[in-house]
Amino acid sequence: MIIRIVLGLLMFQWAALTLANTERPLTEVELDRSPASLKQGAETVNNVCRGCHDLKFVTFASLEGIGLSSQEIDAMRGNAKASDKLMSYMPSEARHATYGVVPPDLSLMARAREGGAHYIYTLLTSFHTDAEGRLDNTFFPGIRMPDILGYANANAEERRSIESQVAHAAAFLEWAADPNAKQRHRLGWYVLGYLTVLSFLLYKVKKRVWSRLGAAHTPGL
Amino acid sequence: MGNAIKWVDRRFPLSTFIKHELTDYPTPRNLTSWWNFGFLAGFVLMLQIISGVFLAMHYKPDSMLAFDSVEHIMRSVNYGWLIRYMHSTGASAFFAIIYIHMARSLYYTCFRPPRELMWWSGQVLLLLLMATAFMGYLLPWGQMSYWGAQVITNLFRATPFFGDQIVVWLRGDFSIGDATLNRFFVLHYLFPFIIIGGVFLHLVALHYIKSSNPLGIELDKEDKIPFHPYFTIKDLYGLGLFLIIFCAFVFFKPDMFIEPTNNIPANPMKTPAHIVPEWYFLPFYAILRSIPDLVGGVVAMGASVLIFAALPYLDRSTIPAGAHYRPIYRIMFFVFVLDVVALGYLGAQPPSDETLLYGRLASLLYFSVFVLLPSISIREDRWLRRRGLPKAVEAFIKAEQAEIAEKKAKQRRRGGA
Repeated sequence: MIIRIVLGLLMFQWAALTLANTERPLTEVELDRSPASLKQGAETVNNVCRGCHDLKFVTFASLEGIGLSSQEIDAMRGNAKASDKLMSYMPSEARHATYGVVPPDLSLMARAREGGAHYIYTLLTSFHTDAEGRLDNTFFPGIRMPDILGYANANAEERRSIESQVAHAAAFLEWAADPNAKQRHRLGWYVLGYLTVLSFLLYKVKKRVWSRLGAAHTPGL
Repeated sequence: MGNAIKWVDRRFPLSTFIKHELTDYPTPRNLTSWWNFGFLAGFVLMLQIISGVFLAMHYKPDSMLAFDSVEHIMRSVNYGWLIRYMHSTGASAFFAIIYIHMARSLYYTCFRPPRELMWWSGQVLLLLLMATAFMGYLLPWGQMSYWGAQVITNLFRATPFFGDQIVVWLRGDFSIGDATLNRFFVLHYLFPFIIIGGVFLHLVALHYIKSSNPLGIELDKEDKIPFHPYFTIKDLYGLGLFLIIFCAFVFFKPDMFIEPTNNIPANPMKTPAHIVPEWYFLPFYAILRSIPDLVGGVVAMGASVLIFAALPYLDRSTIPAGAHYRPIYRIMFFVFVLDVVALGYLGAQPPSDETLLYGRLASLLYFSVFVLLPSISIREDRWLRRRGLPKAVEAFIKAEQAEIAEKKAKQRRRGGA
């Protein structure tokens, strides 16, 4: 029976693969989630992205979560209060006037797109100038966002440095979208460990209780 | 303590109740692990209600505040992320458990007489669960919440004569908006308590006719063992295993059941490229999509959920325990399960000529299983009885048929007089 189910599922997997997968390819980047990397990412987001984007669910104070000291946070927030959110430097009317839309909030960006942080990385490293010298994005053709890091016209070496900057920013945005992930994983291991021991004990008790039963009476049971 | 219980017993049948429903309640000893899922469904219902009550303390059913209040729960409420992820994962767990619970009843034909009312109360519970889940999915007020609700409420346009009015009446507005969110929140909070009532009826019926078993036959008295301690400990052990899987999702893969698009706040001006319902609605959604006409699609989708209720009449076999003794029925069961999985997969794909074609074939197969069941089950019954069944099964069928014949004779006599 189980073999039949497995075979069915395999057939299904095959059907799934043959039904054309036309998604645009993501660049899978190795994310460095160390405090140093997240701090660099936070700086990029704070100094560059916040020019046009809000992070309305992230407060300066919450940056403690990536390991920033209160002095570092103070340096980053400038005149803003620690309880302030990381809103854009530009008022939303001005941003709307510039781009025709208010640029999307970034606090959930790493969870709001298929591919998460890899999406962000791919998007920011897909700017290029086409044959006629127009700026465009291969991953998101027609995007209204400017190539703020100057990736399209950078040489190979500059590109490497931009790519690492973007990778740090993507890692930071991943944290911003799911700031409890670390705590959740740590707690998760304890919970799973506890439940495994508990289930094992319950299994033992079940065995013992059921061993009280003698042989079955009904023929064929 | 003893005196207190005596005092209560004089006024309320506490001890008799515990005795009758737990410590003496006779349960077939050969129940397999597939019988654990009823208890698990009850557990998850409680989990959803408790986590839901705590979420409701911080949630704001207002189209301007709803999305942000969910993020507030996720970030600022103590362990809010845990409560929210338990609730969102719990919805998926609930459906997974209910579908397995239903599959068990299908496999062992637990719906056959005298358990029709259990089957039908289960069917009503399934509909209530679907309604509750659908309304709950609007509450986070993300893009998929909004557009999913828009698409599904729009289906009521298929109602004859009053289609458009019904849609407006359901939404409380011309499109999904603040009024819809508010009423869905109220109903999402109300329905679980109606479900508790339904579960109560489901259990009263169960404890009156007692559990079926994998052999389907009436077991000897000695083989019916008290529910407590045998099945209380078995259910607890099963719960432990369930919680391991459940918590693995809650702590390590909670996003698996949340569409990325639903992390974008609802925007009535912008339709997402690709609207998909939650996984547990996908097979029915695929059936809906495979019919080009709105009314036809809605009727087919409704029928695909409701047709289960007809099973006690569609299965004409006299052999108990379903697939256990019936090879043809067993094949049909697995074909059906695979077909539902295939429909689920197709429902998640963007519509194309290919998915549409496969969707139609799979929908056709879905309904053929039900339509062909009467004639197949009669032929299979004849074939198997000619080939010979285990003695106990033969005896069971004979006793059952004698009972039916006696009832008919009585009716005839009464009719004659």
